[in-house]
Amino acid sequence: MQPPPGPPDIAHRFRRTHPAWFKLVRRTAFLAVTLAAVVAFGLFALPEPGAAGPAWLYSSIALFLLLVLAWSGNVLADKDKPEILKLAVSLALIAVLAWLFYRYSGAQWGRLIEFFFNFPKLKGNWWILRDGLGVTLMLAVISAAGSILVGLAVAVLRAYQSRTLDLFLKVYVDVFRSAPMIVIMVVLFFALPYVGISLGSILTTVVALSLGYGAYASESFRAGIEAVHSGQTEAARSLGLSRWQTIRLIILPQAIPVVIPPLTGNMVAMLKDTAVASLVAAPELLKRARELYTSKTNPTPLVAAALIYLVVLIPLVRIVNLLEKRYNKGSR
Amino acid sequence: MNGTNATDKMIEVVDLHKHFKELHVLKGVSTSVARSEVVAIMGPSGGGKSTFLRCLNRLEEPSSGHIFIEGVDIMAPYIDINKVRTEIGMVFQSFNLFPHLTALENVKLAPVHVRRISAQEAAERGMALLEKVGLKDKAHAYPEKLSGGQQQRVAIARALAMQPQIMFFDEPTSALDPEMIGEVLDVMRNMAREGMTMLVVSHEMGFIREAADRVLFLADGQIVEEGTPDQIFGDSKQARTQDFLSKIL
Repeated sequence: MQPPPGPPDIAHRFRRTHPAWFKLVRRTAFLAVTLAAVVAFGLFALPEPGAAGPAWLYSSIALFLLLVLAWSGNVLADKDKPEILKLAVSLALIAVLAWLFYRYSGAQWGRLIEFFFNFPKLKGNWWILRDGLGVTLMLAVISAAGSILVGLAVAVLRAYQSRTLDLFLKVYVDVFRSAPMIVIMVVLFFALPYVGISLGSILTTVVALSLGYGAYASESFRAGIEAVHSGQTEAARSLGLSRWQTIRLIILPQAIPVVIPPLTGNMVAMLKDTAVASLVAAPELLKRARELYTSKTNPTPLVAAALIYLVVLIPLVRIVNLLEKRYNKGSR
Repeated sequence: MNGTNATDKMIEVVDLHKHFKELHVLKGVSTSVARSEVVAIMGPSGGGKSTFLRCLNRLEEPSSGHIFIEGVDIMAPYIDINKVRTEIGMVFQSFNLFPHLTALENVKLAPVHVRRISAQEAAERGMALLEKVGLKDKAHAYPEKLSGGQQQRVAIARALAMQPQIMFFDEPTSALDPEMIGEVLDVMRNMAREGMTMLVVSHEMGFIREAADRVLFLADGQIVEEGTPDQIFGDSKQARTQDFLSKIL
């Protein structure tokens, strides 16, 4: 039997097409040859540092960079190449850039290490930074509790929808969201004593962070409360529940799970902002590091403090991301 | 139940007005509902049916007029509206079950926190009510696991748990798939038979014809016509009513 005359080749109509040169540059042989050329250029054609005039030096480095980027870009943009190859190319690219920088920047590596990474100088003084970290974490935990309480209270009061009350609370929220933390702390610490209120550096920090981040927290809570459907309030009120019972038993249990991820994010940001407390002499991590910097006349303690902040904060930032993912997925 | 005769006025509404800013939604509605009477409210959308119902327990604050529940003016300043609402159960179009609570917890919540009865007693009564609406086996399910018809029946049980004198239904079957309407209407029919005073916003003609004592036809914020279901459906005097009924039949 003769098959019936089929339709024209439909698969052909939808097939990807490329110009001939495009096919050529994606061939393995072409890539290998050009790679060899680029490597040879880098090894033999680049002038020694200081051996040539700056014009020649810079233009040959620029040309080399251009070739390297074009070659790796060609590989990275090809979606038919395996991911493992792309990873290798990316790492090689970073290595080449580092090598270029190391060779031509003229950096004084020895002095850089002596000044900023002179960790032997910290010997016997690590406990100072550890104490500072302890104070930082304590400030952060107390202020986190404070700001959540402030934020929850403000958001709940705003949920009562009293116009006058709302006006005052809005002013509070806007002022503290607009003012930089450093300004809030400095005003609380240096100005308040003139009106007879001396809070001391620890309490100043806690109050400033609680008020400042409380304003952010209240906005998060408010968004969560407003996300609860108005039918929930109507159903609760129609059963005879009071406004406060409705908020406590119906609205907040639904709002709080929604609010946890943004709130955790706020709290992590607040942990960073505890560093501002070093300006009002709270003995936290940065303050202790700066004291060491002065006494040792060496900035390594500051680098150490920076590393400690990273070690503490990166896991927390990861946790925030996980929380966001989980609550987004499990939204019911 | 408590010695009053069956014809006394459970609800009396006098010249009720409601404005939403410029919009005049209710333009002087007056009517009354007797104890154990079942009144259906019909009318075109935007005619003020839901607003009327929601004004009667002051979920919407009426702009002017008087509402008497068992002879008490609930617009008076000394009235605690929360106490009034405990006597009026309300069922919504969109069910509005509390999603963070199980069916039984939904039913228990108000008796425990408003009536202040013990959790155990509330649970026993709640189970009895869930059994009455045919959902005893779903007592510990969360609303998201229930079908629309099941959710609405839990919502009815939740309202009944407060042992109200009056029940309001605001389009209780409009959000339901057709095959679930019957199970909800059955529950409502039983309540009517047991003598509950009911106000029902609905266009379920079969249910109204069978269970309602009276139909209010509400359009443009006014009661255009009222009468028994037979009078309204079979022998309407008003062109507005006839026109509406011809469209939904």
